[in-house]
Amino acid sequence: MESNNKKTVIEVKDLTIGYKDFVLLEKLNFSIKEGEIFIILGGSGCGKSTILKHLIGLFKPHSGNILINNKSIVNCSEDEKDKMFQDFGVLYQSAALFSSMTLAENVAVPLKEFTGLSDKVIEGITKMKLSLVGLTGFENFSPSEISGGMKKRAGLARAMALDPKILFFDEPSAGLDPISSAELDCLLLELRSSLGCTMVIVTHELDSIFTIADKVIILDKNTKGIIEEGDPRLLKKNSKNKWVREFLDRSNMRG
Amino acid sequence: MSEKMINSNIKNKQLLISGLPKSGFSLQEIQDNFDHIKPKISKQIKNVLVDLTDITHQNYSVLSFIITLAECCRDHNSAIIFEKLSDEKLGSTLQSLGIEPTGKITSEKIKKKKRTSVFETAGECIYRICGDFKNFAGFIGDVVYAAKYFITHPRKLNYRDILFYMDKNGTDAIPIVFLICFLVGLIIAYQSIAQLAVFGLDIYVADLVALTLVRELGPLMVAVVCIGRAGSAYAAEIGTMKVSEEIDAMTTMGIKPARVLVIPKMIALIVVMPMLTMIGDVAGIFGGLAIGVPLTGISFIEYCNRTLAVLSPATLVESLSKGIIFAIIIAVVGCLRGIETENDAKGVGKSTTSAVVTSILLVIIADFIVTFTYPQILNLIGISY
Repeated sequence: MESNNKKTVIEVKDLTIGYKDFVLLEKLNFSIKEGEIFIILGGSGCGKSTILKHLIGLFKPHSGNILINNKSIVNCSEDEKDKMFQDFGVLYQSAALFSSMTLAENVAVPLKEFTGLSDKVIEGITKMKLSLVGLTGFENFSPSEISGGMKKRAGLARAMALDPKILFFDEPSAGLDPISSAELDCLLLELRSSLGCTMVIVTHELDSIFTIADKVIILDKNTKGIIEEGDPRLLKKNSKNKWVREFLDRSNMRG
Repeated sequence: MSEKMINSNIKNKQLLISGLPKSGFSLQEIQDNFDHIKPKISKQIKNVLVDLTDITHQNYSVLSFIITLAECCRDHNSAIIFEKLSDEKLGSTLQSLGIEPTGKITSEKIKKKKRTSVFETAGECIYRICGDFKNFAGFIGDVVYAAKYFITHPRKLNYRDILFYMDKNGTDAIPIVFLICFLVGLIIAYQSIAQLAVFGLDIYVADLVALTLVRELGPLMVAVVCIGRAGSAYAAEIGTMKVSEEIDAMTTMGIKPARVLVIPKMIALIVVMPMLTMIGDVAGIFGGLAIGVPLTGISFIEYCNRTLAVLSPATLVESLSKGIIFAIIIAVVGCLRGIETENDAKGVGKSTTSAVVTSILLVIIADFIVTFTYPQILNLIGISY
């Protein structure tokens, strides 16, 4: 759980984002502490995935700054950005595994690119990473031969290849059945407790949010900003915003 | 005419609309009622008052009718005013559709369609071309940077990929290149014999076929085959990777797409295209020979001798240079269009088409430039053409 003593690993300052002239979200300010599971929440089309793509440096914001470990990912050179990319891993919505490679080769890509390790050592690390996500024995399968949930786990193994301290997830539970989704949640909690990773997750899954989140921010496309911030369990009961209470309370309607 | 016709009366420059059915409209009824009311909305009508008694936000067909009506009012500068709005959610639904419950059109959601002028279209076109050029220049920069990286780190180059693409775009293309060039040689020979025979010069068919094929048509035909086989495949392959977020994944792993995706494909094409051009040249000459020998009556040996005599080393260098230049153009354009693919279903098809069209255009322009400048360069360094 969140502790005030923990250092801030990601800090977003006055961030305004959008596409061309269209402003999607403006003047966003939030920070993410070390070891926190931080969830970005909001209705469809409010800019959740877009904000994630800004956090990982794929898009350039209209204005504002994003600091990762006190280094700006917005105002840095391409070389500096390449170095910063090694500090975090990303699991994409579609898992984004390289379809021409096997799972083991996929996981080995960042290791081959950024380390001077021998092929034997890389093979060992790859096997370990795949076993960490429960994919032992699937090393030589290609992405087209495995299920959606397994793809997500393989993507997670690849994201963790360089032992990053920060992991970003874009809708990790999307397209998964409830059991696979719950398994993925358990895996994330396990990884956090064993590796101490900070996790930033964009999701819609309320069950997941109440299971894993330390802190959420809720975005709203009408006000183009953050309408709530805090522990989702508390927000569900105490939020002053009716829409937020309704949004978070849907899990009760299901149960 | 349908049954559910609503009431509309004009009173003091105001059009009063009432009797909107609680049970909603059918699609045809929306059209019929609109056709009935539209002629009554004119510049003389300042306000259109709509009675919303019993209408809720769930009366979707009535909402469709109101939106249509609101747009019509906007076109005639009339205000649309809603009366007896009892459902709170209907008000917010109208607001989200860009119509204030008072009838003002608030957002740009219902935008007046503007007629674009010629200047506007021309401006947009120039802006797009400038954007294209900027992307192209940026991409060339990335490719040069990646090439520089591999010169200093040759071990990092993925030789397996290079061999794979050489096989796919080179070996597999040999039969089609041979067939096309053979037929082109045959056609050129047949057409020229008919013309040359008039002046009794049909013996020169060997010279004509050899020079045309080696200098121009051989490299061009090979380029066309490679655009169809390699250029479009590069765009489609990279485009699919873009759509499935593989390019994003690569970028956030700090891996440059230009390094991993473009350079191996480019090297493969630069190696195989001059070879294919040679094969195409030979096939074309054989095509000319196959029809030239029987039709002109010159012997096989004489035909071959004339062909060899006319082909100088400079001509062969021109053919190979064109092969290399075209290879660079095809690989760069194919990969650039792939990377520019938009993230939707149409994106890949669009980028593939664009890769083919742009490559053909640039290859022809490059051919024109090389054909005109090559003799000048040879003159400058004192080599006969």
